[in-house]
This record gives sequence, structure tokens and C-alpha cells, in this order.
Amino acid sequence: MEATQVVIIGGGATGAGILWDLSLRGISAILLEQGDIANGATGRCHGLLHSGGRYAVKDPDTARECVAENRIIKAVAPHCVDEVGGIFVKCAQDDPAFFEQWWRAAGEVGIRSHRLSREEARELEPNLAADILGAFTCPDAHVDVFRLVLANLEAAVARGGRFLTYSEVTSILSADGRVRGVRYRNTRSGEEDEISCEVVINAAGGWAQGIAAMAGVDVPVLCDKGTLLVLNHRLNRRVINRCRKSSDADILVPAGPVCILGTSSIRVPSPEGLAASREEVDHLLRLGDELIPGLVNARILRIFCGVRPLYAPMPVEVARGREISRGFALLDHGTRDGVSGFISIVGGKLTTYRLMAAAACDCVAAKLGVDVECTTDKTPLRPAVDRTTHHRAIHVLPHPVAEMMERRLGPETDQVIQAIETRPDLAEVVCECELVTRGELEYVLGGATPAPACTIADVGRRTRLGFGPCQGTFCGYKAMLAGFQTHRWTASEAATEFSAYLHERAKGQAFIHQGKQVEQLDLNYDLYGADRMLCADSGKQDGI
Amino acid sequence: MRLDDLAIDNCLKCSLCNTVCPVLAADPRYPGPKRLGPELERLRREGISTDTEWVEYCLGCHRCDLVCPNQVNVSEMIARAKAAHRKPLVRGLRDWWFARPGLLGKLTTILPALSNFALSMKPARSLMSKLMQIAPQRKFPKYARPDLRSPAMTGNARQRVVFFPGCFIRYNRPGLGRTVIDLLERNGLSVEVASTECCGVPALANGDAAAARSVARANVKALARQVDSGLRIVTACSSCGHMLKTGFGGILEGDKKFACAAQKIASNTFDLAELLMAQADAGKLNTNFQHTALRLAYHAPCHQKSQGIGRPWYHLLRMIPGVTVEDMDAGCCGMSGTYGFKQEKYPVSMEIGKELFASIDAARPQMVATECATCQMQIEHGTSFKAIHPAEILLQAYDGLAPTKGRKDCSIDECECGPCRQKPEGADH
Repeated sequence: MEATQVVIIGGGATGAGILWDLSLRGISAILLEQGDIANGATGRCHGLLHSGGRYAVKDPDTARECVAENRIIKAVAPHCVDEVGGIFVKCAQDDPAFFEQWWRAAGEVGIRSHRLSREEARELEPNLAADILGAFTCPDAHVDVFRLVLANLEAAVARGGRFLTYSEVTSILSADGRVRGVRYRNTRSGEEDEISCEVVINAAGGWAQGIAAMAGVDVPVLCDKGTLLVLNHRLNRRVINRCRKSSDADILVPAGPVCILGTSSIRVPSPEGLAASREEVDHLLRLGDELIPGLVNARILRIFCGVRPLYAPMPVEVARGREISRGFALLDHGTRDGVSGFISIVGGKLTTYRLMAAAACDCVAAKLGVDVECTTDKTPLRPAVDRTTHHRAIHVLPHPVAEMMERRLGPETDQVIQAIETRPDLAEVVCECELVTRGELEYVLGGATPAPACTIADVGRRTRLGFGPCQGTFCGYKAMLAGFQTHRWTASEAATEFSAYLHERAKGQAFIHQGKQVEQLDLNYDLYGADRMLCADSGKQDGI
Repeated sequence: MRLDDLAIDNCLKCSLCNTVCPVLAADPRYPGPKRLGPELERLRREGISTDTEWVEYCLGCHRCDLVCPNQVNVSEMIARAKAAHRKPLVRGLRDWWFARPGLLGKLTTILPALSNFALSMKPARSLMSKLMQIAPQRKFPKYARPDLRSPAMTGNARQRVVFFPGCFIRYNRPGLGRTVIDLLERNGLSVEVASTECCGVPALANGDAAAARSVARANVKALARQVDSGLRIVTACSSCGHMLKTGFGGILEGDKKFACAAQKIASNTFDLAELLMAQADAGKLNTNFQHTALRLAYHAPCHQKSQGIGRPWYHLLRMIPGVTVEDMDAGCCGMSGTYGFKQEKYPVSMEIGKELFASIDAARPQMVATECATCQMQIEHGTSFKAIHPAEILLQAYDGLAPTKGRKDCSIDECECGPCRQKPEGADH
């Protein structure tokens, strides 16, 4: 049985942020994640680094938190953030009173904003509808959630932190009203083990209620489902928000080469087994088309659903998902429920993950008697890529390939470039949509990285492999071969991995009812014969 | 949103475009149309610097567009990337000239004899190679006095067409222009020569979008009135035809008035052979061909294929009694206008042409017929056979004259092309 000071449950942004914060304070910690990194809400959101504008009117406190965190994340993790900027578009269909309300509120919470006329707005975003009334700017940005979580984990590992993926907590061990450790099971091998610790942090997001129940306490978490559509290419340069009370399909975020439209808001009982209905997708598309005419004809690559794990301590039968505060709550179960050494951090937003981590860590540090301040707001997550590595990279790789690799891997680029220099075949571009080289693929599959990939989908979260139009049809196959060739998997393991991967990829496309992605899926089916049944099961009667 | 902005979404990554790309077949280092087109286009829209010299190596043959089962405008995406590509100074200068064959034609035809003499001299050519990076192996087409005029109206009211000559016919081979006019007149059509500029293909191919747009606008202005009055436009150059038929390759998009007129021009433009075949289908083709014993090899230029009109010349030539035609069907010749003249692209250009050269050598025709001027240059450069425009063969067949037989008439001293190098000392061409 291992021993550590703190066990963190949940490998999303909050959990990873806590691991990094604790590592900076010199507190030893192990993070347990039931799946791969960013498996829950973190990996299933817009990837919008809020400027605060979305909450300025309704929830000024959250908005102020967003304003501050927006600046901090941009400063400490520039490699995870694409500073695209954002606009709030005034549509003719919407309530004009809200526009002025927004403008006043934005000024009050400290959002830097300018007014744009219709012409100015359409010059910035030529695809916007011609009948908009104008827009306000705001410092929204896109944050690559997978890279953000990885950056936190890797930075923590460099300072002694540890994390285990595919490790599901099965019970929380306690004695004398005090948490003593956790028992967990490796979901891939089935092996079980225990870790003893002084403090357990529950950062399990949508699963937090279940984890809390293991310690015999109740943490009311509401799961509010949001469905998002990934469109094949960027239709916008900036984040486009619709300036109105939060509603469906009012945010379009340019995320890497794609853009993401969302979201809906539907109460669901559990964070698992989510599905998007055809009506929901059509509804989102129709609303998106009001902002960007023609969007309804754009190719949808993938549809995914995530949950907002909202903390709802009051009677919530009447409250709708969007009306519950996006603020977070730190629950010290020692004072609240008499279970000492157990805390839960719930609610909140991706944008405020660092603040949540800081609050949780302050509480833990006080419990452990560690008197070190939080420094995550000042410490860069990752050093920059040095010039020589950059020059070596563009010497062996085409410019865009090198640029994408540097953005993904940062200083680790050096190791991949070294490998490519000795083995030029590693320069082959395996994922053509996202320009992932064989070198990078073998690197994340190998043991040299602090966060090795276990499955092909894991490779995707680390490199964006399979995130493009073919959705892994061609590159997933090559990843399977690479796993076999590097002796990561035996032949049968590799085949199983690939089949699971196809299944996972097909799941995200199963709700797409029309357009080119259906043909892509057909091509996939023609090649591998996989998952047609799955598509039929998910209500896709026509088109395939 | 421009409608074809969404064409990028059509790509299913099937790689069919890569399988037909002549450049990719000739040089495996070339990233291929799929990468340079739809794949990098997504990243371009993200704002990643995807600039690569390889975009310069796209021939603009449009084979990728033709083969794409999903209507992705691959070559248009590459052309846009080409226009955004920054070239080194010397190449930029060279390509500035190459993009403006009209201007080049106007200047050189002030004193055609002098220009031809200068361009044919070996020192001049090696100087051009050094200063302008123009392949010294290539010889320039001869320039002639640009004296192509509309013929006088004949008395009887016949159907009238507008002939779009293009730079090559206007400045290098006005004789071919007169052949075309004669051919049309013998088929009951009266001809008016359009006072137009370069079609814009060279400008697009050399990544000069501004020049392409300006000539496209001038052409639209010059042709719109005639099209509106119901006249059809005839081209004898496959590249000019391709450009006119595609509404000037989309370069006028975003300029509603011109784009609309360009579309109208596009639907009223016909290749010479296409028009003659239409006459034949209507039973109006003058088929008084004399018996002409001639064995021909026919090469269909890429820009003829991209027009989607079948192989009208092949069928027309076969109507001449005594003529046997073999369609080479051996892919792209590799010349692609000014592409083959560029020193750095010369090896690729010749590598691409290999298959065609081998097919022609195996067929051992008396001459090669192909309607593209630069295909003719490439065929004469890569093989020992003369290549001419099929219109000339057709016209002469009316008079029972077989075109000059045999090998090409090379008139450049110390020419380095294949047959000239092989010819015995003192022998005539």
C-alpha cells in the first residue's frame, strides 16, 4: 500500500490544477482518474476561456472571477490558449434592452469592451448575418482543454506529483470519523490497490455525488447536459456570443482548425450515457444559422454531450440549469458532516479551475499545517520552446507540421525532433488532418512521456490525432499499427484497441443525420465494417 | 458566406486526387493536392502559417478537381495558397513577366525579328538562365507581327461568333488565328475577333491574383456586350477556353456584377472543336475533306479535359478520309504553360512528360496533333516529332494538302533538343 499526503479524485481541469498547486506547495499528492485525462466535463465543453461577458448581467461575482482568471490563464499557460478574442453580437431578434444592460454590467465587472457597428462587426466576422445590429468586443479566448490538463499534470509530475489514469476509486477508507485512504481499481487490468493518505479531495465533477456517498456524505450535484457540435472548419475568427440571456446555441468558438457550436441545457440524472436527440441537433443548427447564415449546411464532424456539474444546495426542483450559479463551492466535510480529512470542490467553470484548485489547496494546506501561499497565478506551466529546437524542427519537418508539434509538445518537442533526426521515417505525417507525425505518435505511446497514452483515443487527446474530418478512419488505423510496431500492444491487443477506438469515434458521429460526415462514416464502414449497428441503435435510421 | 467556402467540407480524405496528380507521381516529395488543398486550407483558416514552396509546383492541370467524387475545388484552394506564397526576388520578377504574356507579347512584337533573334541566341538564353532562372534547355516560341484582324463581313447574313484568340495566337501564331477563322467561315459561321487581353491563366498559374483579376475584368467588359447580344465565343486554345468556361476560375467572386457576367460568358463559350462537333451533330459540318494520308498521334491537353467536352478534336480528325489517329491518353505533358520554362521546375516538367513521350515514340506517328501551344512545345522538346494544332490539319484537308510531313522544323542553331543533338553533322532538319 502506497502512502501520500493527499489523494485527488478526478482528472479534469480542477483535479489537475489541484495536483499542480499542491506540488508547488511541496505537498505530496496522487491523482486518480477513472478514465483518461479530461474525461468528464472538462473534455466535453466549448473550450471557451470566458472573458466574463456571459455572466456579467446575471452573475457578476462569477463574471469578476472570470475576468481575473482569464488574464491569469493567458499569462501562465499561453501555449494552451489561442487568444482569438470574442464578440457579443446584437441580433435583431433579441431584446434590445439587454444590450445596454450587458454594456453597463460589462463595464461594472471590468471587461474590456468596445462597441462595434454592424459594418465593423461584419468586417471582423464576414460570415455574420447581414441583419445584425452591432456587437461588443470582449477578451474571450479558446483554451485547448486537453493540453491545459496535460500541462498541469506534467508540470506537477516534474515537481514530484503523481497521477494514475484508468484508476477508479471503489471505496474511501475511513476510521474514527477520519478518512485514511482510498481503494481503487485499474479499469484496464482489473487490479485493485489502496493508497493511504491524510486528506482526500473530491474533484470528480459530475461523479462527485457518488464519490461523496462513498464517505457517507451528501453533496448535491445536478447534471445539466449540454450538446455541442464540432464543425469541420472555422467559420469565425473570434468567439461569437449572442448578446442575450443565456440560451441555446449562443456561443460559437473557433477551436484549433474547427469551430464548436453549443450548447443546449437539459437536466439529466447521471453524467454517463448521454445522447443527443435529432431535434436537439436540428434546434442548435437552426439557432446557429441565425448568427451565421449557411452554418446549417456546414459539415458536422462530431456531436458530443457533456454535463455541467452544478452545485445546488437549495431546493432545485424549480431551478433550471442555466439559472443555478456557476460559482463553485468548497465543502469541508470535517466541519460540515463530521468526516475529517475529506473535502469536495464542486460547481464552477473551466475558466475558474485554477481558482477552485487554489481554494481547495488553501484548505488542505491549513489542515496539514503547511504554510505556503498559492503561486499558481504566477508560475508558468511550461517553459517556452527554445530557438535551437525550433530551428531543428523546421529543418526536418514542413513548417506547419513543426509549428503544430511545438504548440502541442512544448519543450518535449526536443525529444521527438531528436528521434526524427536519427530515424527520418518518423517525420511521416500520420494524421493528415491535424498534422501529427509518426514521431509524435510513437512518443505519446512510449514510456518517455510523463503522461503515456493507453488507448488510441488517449493518443487523440494528447496530439489531436483523429480529431479531423476523417475522425480516425485513416490515422486511427496507422496508430494501431504504430502501437504494434513499437511493441506497445500485441497483435490482438492492437486489434482490440482499434475496434474500441472505432466504436468511440462512431459514437460521436452517430447523431449526425445529414451531410458529408455521413458519407465519411460510410467510407469508414466500407473499410472496416465497424459499428454500423451502433449507428442504427442510436436512432440514425436514415442516411446510412 | 461564399458557397464554395464550404466545398472544403466535402473532402472525405479518399486520396483520389493524389492518385491522379502528375507532380506527385513525378516527385514523391511533393505533398500532393490533398495536403496542399483541403487539408492545409483548414489550417490556413485557423491562421497557421502553412506557406510552403511546394504550392508553386502545382501544375494547375485540374486533374484533382475532375477526379474528386465530392466536388472539392482542390486546385482553386492551391491557387489561392500560391497567390499568398512569397517568392524569392529573382523568381518573383521572372514570374511577374510570365504572368503577363500579353505585355511580353506587346513589347517583343514591336520588332519581332529582333526579339526572335535575341531570344534564340545561346548567350542570351544562358544569361536568362542565370539572371531570370529560365531553363536554358527551352527555346522560346517565335514572335510574329500581331496582325490578326476581324475579316470583312460577307454579304449573306450568317451566324456570327466571337473568336477569343489568346496571347499565343495573337503574338506568336497569328497564322493559326487565320486558320481558325477560315475553318469557321467554311462552316457557315462569320467571325469577329475579340479585342481582349490575356485570359488570365498565366497570371493565376504564377500566383499573381491581382493581375488575373485585372485581365479577367477587362475580358468581362470586352465580352459581356457581345454575349448579351446572343453571340457565342470560340476559343482555339484549351487554356483560354478553360478559363472562360470556369467564369475566370472564381477570381471574380465577391464582385457580384463581374461574377454574374463571367458566368454568362462561361455558359456561352465553346471550344473550336466543340463548336464544330455541334455543327456536325446538326448535320451542318462541312465534310468536303480530301483524302489525306496521315498517321497522327493525338494528345488531349489537361485544360481540354477539364472542360468536360469529351475529345472533339479526336473525333473531327477521324472524319478526314485517310487519316488515322491514335489517342495517346498518356496523362499530362508536364509543360503547363510557363511552368516548364522555370529552371527549378524543368526536371519535374520533363519527368512528368516521360509517359507521353514514350507513348508518342512507340506510336511513331507522322506528327502529333494537340491544341495547346505549350503542349506542342513540350512534345517537340521531348520527342523527335512535330506537333501542330489539329485545326491546321482540318483546314488543309479541305484543300487536300497534307501538312508538312516528318520531323519538326527546328530553326535554332545549336538547338539542344533530342533530334537536333542526334542529327548527323551538316544534315538538314
